[in-house]
Amino acid sequence: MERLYNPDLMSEAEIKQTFVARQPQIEELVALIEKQPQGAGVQHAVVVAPRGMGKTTMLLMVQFALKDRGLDAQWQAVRFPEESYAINDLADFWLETLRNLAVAVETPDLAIEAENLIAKFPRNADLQEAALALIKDWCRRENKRLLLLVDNFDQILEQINSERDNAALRNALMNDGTLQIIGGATAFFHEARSYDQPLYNFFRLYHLEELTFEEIQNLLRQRAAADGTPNFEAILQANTVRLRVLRYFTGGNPRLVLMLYRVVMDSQVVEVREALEKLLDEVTPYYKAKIDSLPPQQRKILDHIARISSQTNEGLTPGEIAKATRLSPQATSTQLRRLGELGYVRAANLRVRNSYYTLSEPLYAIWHQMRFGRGPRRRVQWLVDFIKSWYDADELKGESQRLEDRFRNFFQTGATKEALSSLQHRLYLAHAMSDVPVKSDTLESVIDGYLQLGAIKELLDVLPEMEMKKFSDATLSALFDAGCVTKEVMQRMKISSAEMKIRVESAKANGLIGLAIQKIKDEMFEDALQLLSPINSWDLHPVVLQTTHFVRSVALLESGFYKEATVEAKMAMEVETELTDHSPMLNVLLGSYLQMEEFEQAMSILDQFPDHDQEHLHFLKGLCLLGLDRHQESVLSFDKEIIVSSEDPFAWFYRGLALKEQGLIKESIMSWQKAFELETPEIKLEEKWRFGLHQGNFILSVFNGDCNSARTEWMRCFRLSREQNLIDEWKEMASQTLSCMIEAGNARFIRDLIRDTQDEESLFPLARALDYLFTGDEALIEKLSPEIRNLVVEMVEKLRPAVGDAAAQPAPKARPRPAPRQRIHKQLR
Amino acid sequence: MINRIGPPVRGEDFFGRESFVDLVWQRVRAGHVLLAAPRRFGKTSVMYALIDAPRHDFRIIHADLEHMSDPTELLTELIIKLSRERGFSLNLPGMGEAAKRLLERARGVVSEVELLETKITLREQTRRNWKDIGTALFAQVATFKQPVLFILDELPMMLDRMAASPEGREQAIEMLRWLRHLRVAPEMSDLHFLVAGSIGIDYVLNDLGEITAMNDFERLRLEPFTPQVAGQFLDALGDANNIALSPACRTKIFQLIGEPVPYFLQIMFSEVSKLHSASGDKITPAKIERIYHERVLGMDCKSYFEHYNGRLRDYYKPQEEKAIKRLLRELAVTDSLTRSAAHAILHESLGRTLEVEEFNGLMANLENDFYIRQDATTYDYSFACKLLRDWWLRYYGLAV
Repeated sequence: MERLYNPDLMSEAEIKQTFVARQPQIEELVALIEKQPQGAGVQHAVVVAPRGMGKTTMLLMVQFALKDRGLDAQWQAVRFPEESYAINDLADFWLETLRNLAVAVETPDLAIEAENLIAKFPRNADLQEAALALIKDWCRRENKRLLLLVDNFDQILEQINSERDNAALRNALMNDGTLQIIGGATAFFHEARSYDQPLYNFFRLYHLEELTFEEIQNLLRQRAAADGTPNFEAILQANTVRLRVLRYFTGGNPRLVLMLYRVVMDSQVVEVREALEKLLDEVTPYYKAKIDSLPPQQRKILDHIARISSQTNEGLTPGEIAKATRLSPQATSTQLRRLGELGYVRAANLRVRNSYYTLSEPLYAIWHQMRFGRGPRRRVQWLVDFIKSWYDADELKGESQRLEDRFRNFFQTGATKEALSSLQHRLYLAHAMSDVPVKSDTLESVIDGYLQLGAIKELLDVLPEMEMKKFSDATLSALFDAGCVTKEVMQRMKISSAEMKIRVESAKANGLIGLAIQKIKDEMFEDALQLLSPINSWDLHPVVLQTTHFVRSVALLESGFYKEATVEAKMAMEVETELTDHSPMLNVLLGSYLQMEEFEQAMSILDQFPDHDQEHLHFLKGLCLLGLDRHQESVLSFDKEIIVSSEDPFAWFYRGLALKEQGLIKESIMSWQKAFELETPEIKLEEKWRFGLHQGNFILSVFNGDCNSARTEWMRCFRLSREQNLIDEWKEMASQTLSCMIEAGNARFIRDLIRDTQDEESLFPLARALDYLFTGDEALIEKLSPEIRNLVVEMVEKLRPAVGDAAAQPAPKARPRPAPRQRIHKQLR
Repeated sequence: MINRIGPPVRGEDFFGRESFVDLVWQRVRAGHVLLAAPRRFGKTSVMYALIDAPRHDFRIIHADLEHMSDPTELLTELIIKLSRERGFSLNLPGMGEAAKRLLERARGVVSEVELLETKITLREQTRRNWKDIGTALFAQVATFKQPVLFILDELPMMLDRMAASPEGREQAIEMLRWLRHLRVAPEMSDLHFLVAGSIGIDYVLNDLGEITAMNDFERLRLEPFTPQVAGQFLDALGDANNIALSPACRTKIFQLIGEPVPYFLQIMFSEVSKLHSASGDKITPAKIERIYHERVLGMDCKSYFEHYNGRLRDYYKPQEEKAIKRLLRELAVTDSLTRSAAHAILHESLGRTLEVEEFNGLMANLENDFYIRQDATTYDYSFACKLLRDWWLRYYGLAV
């Protein structure tokens, strides 16, 4: 007989017969036992999985395998019960081992000996050693080793809660070959997970995965065979879709699969509801225990996910959860990670940053809704959801017809209560329907039934959940006649002329908006704005009004009217609609502020985006911070961007700029080099951006004494300045950088470079000042015009101290004296 | 051969460390050895290799000290173990006749419970004058004219535990000085010590103000496998577990994890093996890449490497810890840093002057603890191992 909570009460044959999916792990565990060394160095293991995943069954199977494979001659299995509340320290653990061993080998004297130790060794530490000594004595006497199969091992260690005891346990398990532990745990527990614990990484872990669809089929097949169910293969084939639903609702948890399957396989709607309610009632202790074992913050997060996902069927991001629960993002992430480890939630898209968390078991969401749902409709929403998944459209129609017939029968025979029950069930079916006309027809038919029964009070309870405006005039009038709706309400359901005007103008506006969007796509922004101009005076539905402002803001932004774009975007945000996500408008604001170089404003917009909602959030933040001269933070932001998009050349390039601003030349060059390496034909950086790269390389080459490289980089700078029309940048850079280089003792080399570029004109004052300093020929200065002469004289005075030494040197030094680093950096800016 | 992750490996499972064991024996003969390596590099396995096959006529006395917290416990353990050694007859004058009877009893008993009773009595009797009794014990062992190697596993852990209380701290210092005094005595030249521990002994000794207490030990560092040994290791694991790893798969594994630390190879292989036994599918480089990203770097294996992050908290002051974590984060993001960039980051994060000596010291500690390595040519720093870098990037890449 099937025992969902106590598999050890099933017969060995039945356990083996219904065991599925975990055979490879059993083989591994048995191999582990077979290959254990004689003395120290035993590998211990823990099977980690949420409740109901089959840990206890696995431990039982290992125990059977021990006997089946003849290992019981060397190994004695000792199985601990699922709950070992009496264990509070290591002494208790060893004493409990002795008691369980006494039962397993049917030697009551051993249990008595164990009890005697308690009196003999009053000190806890001594008792612990004594109990272990007695275990070793038994093993030596019987020439056997013990295989401890410890269910809920994590709970036991939590009860022991002593680092010292854990250290002693580690000593016994590691340095003595008497024992091997195979434990079961609902989570990867602190004692094995925390690096500062004696049992850290001590156990080999086996995670039990949820059952796959095929494994669920096998489980049911084997269960049916054990039950002697005839034609089960045909039943399976006929219910393939439902089995997939079953997997979804149970998260592949074998215990829940069996429970839910039994309940729903043969039931029809009325019975399904009752059976499901019974099931949910039965699983209450199971879920309650799961939730009660969690710390408050985790409980709060889980509650929120359950509540929201039961309404939306969608996952939630950590940011959304943090906001709703008012926990810090860091605490939320930590607790979510923990809940993930414990198997309560699961995250999608873990490899990218945007993780969406959902419940591991949708059945838990149903349970949550039934137990905590607010309002009668919410409390039965689970049933609606289940029906939606369980029945296809045709089946829903068939069930609806069956319930209608059932209602007629009860109504005609005066069975009012039963007739009402049929109506309620049909109402759930109607809510589960997705075909709108069919749904409206069914709802109206249900209302008609309520009215026929005169069940006005009951009808008033369910009426608010219906969309009355979709009802026919006849039904609305009937409702009015029965006093269920007021005349005003009835009239409100009819479209007023004012509403009609709004509808018409909104429809027209929608058409123009569509055309304007197409113009924007074609980059005809003026035309788009022209198209939207007549809408200004129209009465519009709020959503249409919001869209108009938004589309206009986009067109303005693209046309370069940034200020006007911000005004329109803000107007769009001010329109009250159901739309709470203002990301599109925020994007327009962001783009406008960036274009206007209003970085503070842009930062404030970026702060309004949750992390996941803005692509390249960190890149944009990095840009703003760069603009605000917050260079270190800017580098950090680009780093974060690079973690997400490591191949983005722009992130690398601007990171280089931010590094350069901090004076980290070498690092900035590395970043720029990376940026240019990552260029693709589709994503190209601006050619002129190479200027800084060559300039930096030039300076580094000079200081490294690498004349060839310096000359090459210098010429690259020069050529780029001509190709890209960067003449002013070139002059400024060349003059400042070269002065600095000269002051650092490279005058001759620099003079040669100026000559090599054949561009003495741009750098004439500098070149002439150098010539004068090298030769001392006064005529070189005297013949200049007064304006130029002053410039040259000024430069001569500036360079004289450095060139005085340099002039004596015929060529650049192999390793010139480096200029003060800070100064070079300043020049580079 | 079985892929054991966690416990020490012995016999045929002990792989690729034969020449290191030769080296240990060579050095042990000359003096005392401190086995240095990060957690899970295989220190205890090396110790068991010594115990399982003693050389040069050595007797080996092994004790795991992790759970101990006073010298009496250590001494009692050693006395009991020595008294049960064949051919060793102990007579400790400081303890009188009763002790002699106890030791005879310890030698003769077969029951573990009786042995424990003896141990408890002995412990009480040695408590008052453990140093005198200990000195007598070692002096007597030295007269046996046979070299004895005392392997003290997790000594740093014991010292750390003792240092938690003022009395324990005093006792730890006393024990360290006493042991040093014993070791340097000329008549004790046949007694040799090998010490190892999973937490850094230097940090513990430094904390106790006894940094010189073990400077007579020769440090032997357990390094990652060479590429050749690593390849053989994977082959052996594959053969024993019936998993064929093609050369391309092996290359992929080495590419992914970087430095072939045996423990990392074991974790990788274990995950490969799980997939193989669950699906029976052929292992391909693409699958290995997936296993690496989803499993090895995933939540299931996170704790295997968690101590690399956690122990920074134990070994450094809060501001230093923060600065080092910032540095590691930068390294993880950028792959390598010049010396000046590393200095700038630490300097900025510490918010104070960072002298070159202190900087060098910090970087050397990180290198020694297998966090980072320095390129011999460029002197740039990078993560010691690609796997660690990837792990750090995944779990701490965004922390500042």
